[in-house]
Amino acid sequence: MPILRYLERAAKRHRVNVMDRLEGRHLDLLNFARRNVRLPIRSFELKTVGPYLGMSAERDLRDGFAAVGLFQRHRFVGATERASLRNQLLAYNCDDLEGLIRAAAFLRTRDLAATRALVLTYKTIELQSLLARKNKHPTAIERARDNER
Amino acid sequence: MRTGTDIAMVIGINMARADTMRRLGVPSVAALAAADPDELVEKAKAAGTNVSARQIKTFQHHARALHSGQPEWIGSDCILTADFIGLDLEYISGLWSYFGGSKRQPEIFLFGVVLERAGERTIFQRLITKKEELGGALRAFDRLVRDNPDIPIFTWNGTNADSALS
Repeated sequence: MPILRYLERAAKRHRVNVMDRLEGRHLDLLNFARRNVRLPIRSFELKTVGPYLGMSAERDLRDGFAAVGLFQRHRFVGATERASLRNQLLAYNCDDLEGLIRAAAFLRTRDLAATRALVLTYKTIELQSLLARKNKHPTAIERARDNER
Repeated sequence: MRTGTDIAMVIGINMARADTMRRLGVPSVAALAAADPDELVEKAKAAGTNVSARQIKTFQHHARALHSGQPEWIGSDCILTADFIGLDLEYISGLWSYFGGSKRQPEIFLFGVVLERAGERTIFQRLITKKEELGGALRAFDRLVRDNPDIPIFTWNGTNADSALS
């Protein structure tokens, strides 16, 4: 099942209106790639496409099934091993995001050499920290609430 | 160039179709890349197999990419923007949710989001160990999407239920 279905289900359950905001703005790069290019590799799996687009072959690219295995283990182990598994899971997710970044760069520029030569630097932040920031684009309801205060 | 690459490497050619192609005298991607689609359709008809020239042309795009070792562009969809939000979720699905799941366990257990904006790149992550934490992660993602209203959201296999193995 594609990830947006999971997102939609969770958003509905938690009453977060994010799906409306994705409408007209979401683009699935796998579909985009299938429509626009054929690569000299067997599949469009990100763990195959990522290394083709320049991700280091040393990266321990697992499939999602293996990540679930790590997460299940993470629930039952002691604190030290839990921290190690947590780091592995976050690193695995970073690898997927790096594959996505490279795919986006390649599909945008159509320049294989430049995509492979990309040196990706980034800062990593806890997602939750966004909630502590001041809202740049408050909704009408939030603006009204702020005015009342 | 890879002259001996097996025909079954081509996207859309399963083992049965690969056997058919071999019987029609197309044993490799090099042979497929060089084949005349109309001629191949006629050969297939004579052998009692149904394949259209359009299908063969589609297979040939990938055959040429495999043969040359270079990407072959087949479409010209809209131009992508340099700024985007990329989303990747890890979630419990299939057999794992059946055998290994629990009621307190979140379906989505890892949120990974990248924000590419004005040459800056930030990765936001959240490992969710309890169901109650998922709402906060969703609201944080929603905040990011709302704070960057002018850029698209990219996923890989976000909307298509097909396997990523094309």
